[in-house]
Amino acid sequence: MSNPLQTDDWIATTLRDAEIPTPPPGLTALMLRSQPKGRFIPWLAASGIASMATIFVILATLQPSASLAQVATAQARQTEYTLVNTRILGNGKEFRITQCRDGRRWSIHATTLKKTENGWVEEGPPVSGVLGVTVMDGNRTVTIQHDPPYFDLAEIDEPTPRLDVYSFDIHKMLRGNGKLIKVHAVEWQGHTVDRFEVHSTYRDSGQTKTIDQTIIADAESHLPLRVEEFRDDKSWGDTWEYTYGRPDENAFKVDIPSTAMVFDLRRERLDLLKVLRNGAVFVNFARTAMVLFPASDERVDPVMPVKVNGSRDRLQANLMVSPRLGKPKAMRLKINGKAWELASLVCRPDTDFKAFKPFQKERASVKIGDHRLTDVPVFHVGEAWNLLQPFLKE
Amino acid sequence: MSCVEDRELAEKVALGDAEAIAKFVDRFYTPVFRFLWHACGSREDAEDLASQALLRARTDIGRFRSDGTLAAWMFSVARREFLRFRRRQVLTSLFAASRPPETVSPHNEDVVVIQQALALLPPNNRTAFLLTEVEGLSTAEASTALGIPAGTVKSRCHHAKKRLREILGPAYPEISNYVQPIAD
Repeated sequence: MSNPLQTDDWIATTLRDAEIPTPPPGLTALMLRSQPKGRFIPWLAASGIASMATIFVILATLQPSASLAQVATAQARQTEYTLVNTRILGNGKEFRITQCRDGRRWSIHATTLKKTENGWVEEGPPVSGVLGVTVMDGNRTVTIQHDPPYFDLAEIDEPTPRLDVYSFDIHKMLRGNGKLIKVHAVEWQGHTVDRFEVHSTYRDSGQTKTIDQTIIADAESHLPLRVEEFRDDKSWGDTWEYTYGRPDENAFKVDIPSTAMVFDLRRERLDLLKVLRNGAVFVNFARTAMVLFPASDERVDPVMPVKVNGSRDRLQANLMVSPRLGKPKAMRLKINGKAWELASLVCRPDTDFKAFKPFQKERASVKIGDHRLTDVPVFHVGEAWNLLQPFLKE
Repeated sequence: MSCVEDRELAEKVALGDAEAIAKFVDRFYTPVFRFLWHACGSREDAEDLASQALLRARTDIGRFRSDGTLAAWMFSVARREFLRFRRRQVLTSLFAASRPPETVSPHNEDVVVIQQALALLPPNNRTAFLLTEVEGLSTAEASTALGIPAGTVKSRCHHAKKRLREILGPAYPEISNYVQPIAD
């Protein structure tokens, strides 16, 4: 395909043949409901635009109330706060995540709430999920997952930037096409606040569903105080409560349970570099193994059989790897200037993790397609991606 | 579709004929979605933008002039939606956190790689390339949709194709016979 004309054709064909979803079912109905505007009348525009623009500018100047963009900007500037995200699951349970930030330092604490006669109480482990705590105390990031006997581990890593995964994304609301309702300068719990409501729809499993968002922001500072996001019949959703100011120092204390298996990823990366010759295996507690093996230029078939220590009983028989050379994918990475590929192997669902024997020893042999890896080191880690993260950036 | 059929369809859409609106959605949702998806690189955003473009087309259908094709006019509406999206993106990126990567179907892996290359092109060249090469608009139609002379459409498309070959060469050795050295 070295002919440039053929190359252009391949690019265009690939883009043209990409999977396209069907139109949203509600779109035709929405179009039926909307009304066309009249034809453009040049004289009206010529005479009216200047005066309308002037009126708009005057009104905008007189308007003292905040916009959502101002709220987002005010929120983004904050470096000291506590944010409590309560996820209402709709089955009588709530999941609460508390985020604290003090400059560079941050922490995330996740607990489950249980409804009792006396209201909602925190439900400690063991729970169906995991009690997760992540603390970045300025020098290191420590992630603790404590839900014995299923999960009981701690990972220590380099200091990482703040995680925003449980925050409310106001700028996403700004991008949306929902209906915005603003109510300015109303009283709310002793504060004078601005209230923003956005009612919009989203697509899920081929259906159009509703989403109702409310932001309550301080009228003077524009800082958000409470955010609510409810979906469908309002039986499930999220709330976020903001408290500004330096969080309690306990939020940044690292308390690793004595029973936990501790993985120092900083040290393990050095070990990995020392022993890496033919490949390596990373095993986590979610019955997943990742195998790192030297990249092959000749590989064409992306689906390859897997054998571990001579048996394929406990592993998914096939795995997908990138068949192409140099493709910018995370599945391919460089360590010490050499190219490696990553393949993930998953235990069968009926396999208990305690019986996950193929990689319980310190070294293993793996045959993946045309590669036979013998005597490769096995790393037991909470999450293989965490260990490989710095190499993925290369 | 002839200009007469285009005009009839536009008039029926303007009058609110349900059958015509369904036909209009059937005809334009896929190409408009594809154009916006490849232009902005995000399926999620393209889904919103394509719906917005079609809704705007319904309200502005009175502005369609039958001296051009309906497809060219529809793409001009879609292009304006894309430009609005880019302006919003610039504004919101001032305080934006990074977005999680979108889930990619294995069938779309090549598409993602090409989209990453497309993102490196100037937006004007990108839209000219997508309209002429992917959506199959004639130079005259693309000229109407983009509001630029036909010669400019051709030169933008040429520059886009040349740059895409340069970018994608290392990723696809079969394109440029490029061989990446791999250590054993």
